[in-house]
Amino acid sequence: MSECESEAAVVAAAQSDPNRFGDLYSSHVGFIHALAWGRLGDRAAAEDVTAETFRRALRALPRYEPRGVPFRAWLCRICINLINDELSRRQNALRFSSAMPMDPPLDAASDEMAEAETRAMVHALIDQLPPDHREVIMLRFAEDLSVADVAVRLGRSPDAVKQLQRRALAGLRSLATQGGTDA
Amino acid sequence: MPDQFPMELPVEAVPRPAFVESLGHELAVAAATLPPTIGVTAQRVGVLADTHCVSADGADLPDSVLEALDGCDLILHCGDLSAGAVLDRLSTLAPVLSVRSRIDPPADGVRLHDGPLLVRAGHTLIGMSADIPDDIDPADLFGTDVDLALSGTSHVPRVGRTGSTLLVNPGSPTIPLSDSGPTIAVIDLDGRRSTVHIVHLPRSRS
Repeated sequence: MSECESEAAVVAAAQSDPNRFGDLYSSHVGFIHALAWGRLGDRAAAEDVTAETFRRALRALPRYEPRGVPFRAWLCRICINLINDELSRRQNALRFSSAMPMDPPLDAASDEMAEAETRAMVHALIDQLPPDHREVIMLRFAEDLSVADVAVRLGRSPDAVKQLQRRALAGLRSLATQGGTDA
Repeated sequence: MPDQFPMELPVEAVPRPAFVESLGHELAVAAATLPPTIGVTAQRVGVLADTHCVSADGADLPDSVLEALDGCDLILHCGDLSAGAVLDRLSTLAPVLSVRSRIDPPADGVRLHDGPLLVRAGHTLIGMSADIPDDIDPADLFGTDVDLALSGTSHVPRVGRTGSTLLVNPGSPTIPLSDSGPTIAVIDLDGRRSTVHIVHLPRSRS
């Protein structure tokens, strides 16, 4: 039995007996969470999107019909729709907040919240960069690697890495100026 | 999509065990209320209910019912069979799925099921239950939004709509309780569009 046929059997079993949905959940929760985290950049949002993805999947399970499309791809479509909703919500919140005069943060907790929000927005913007730009930004600033280390990792010269980083940062600035997270 | 991820995921990308366990528990509770789904292939579906046939061979099901169901590629019975033999007679025409009411034989898990039951025919999701009380939202009863909600019990044919769900009660072919007389329903499925025909049968029993 191929992997696809085997998965179809697990899905069919869950449709005949919804108590078996747990098998599908266990197989895919890690991937869906990683997908959500990768796009949204913070754990709380990733958990919200993951939970809602599986709630919707369970509710829509009776309609799922394998047509050569892996079950994971179907889950991903639900998840990505929710991610896009969340990114749109953040974009609207950012537009709203930039249009309104803001009081300064009152305490350390609100400082942390603002920082987390900013970090999440930056992740959302980075996600819209071309793959090579995204990679150099993540290696230089998320993994904190030196230009030399990034050059080794990417198989490029240090000068090429610096140039790539400049273009990536310019792209990021441009996205931030446009306020665009419409991916 | 998997290749969009780095080979080694950051620790934050891995779900917390407590989150996985808590969500798993929530989903298990929700799944326990969801009816089973059976996938079928059908374009013309015969629907009947409240046949109340008591003979051991189903002979008291009027021949006119079988004539009206001729050409259907699936037959759905929404309860109050009384004797299971009626399913044998219906099965001579097409595959049969039914949900049982309190007066019916025990479920066999093949043709006769404890309701509610979901049937997926192509793009159409059908919910079957022996009864759908007026104050119950079909989406709550079936645990999901269905295109067609089929039920019996009233012995009165009815086609209605709530939201995007078409409600169909085929009436009774043997003990009608309205001026409509004996009835069944035939439903033509075309994508997610369904056309319901209430079929009026002769009053005399064969």
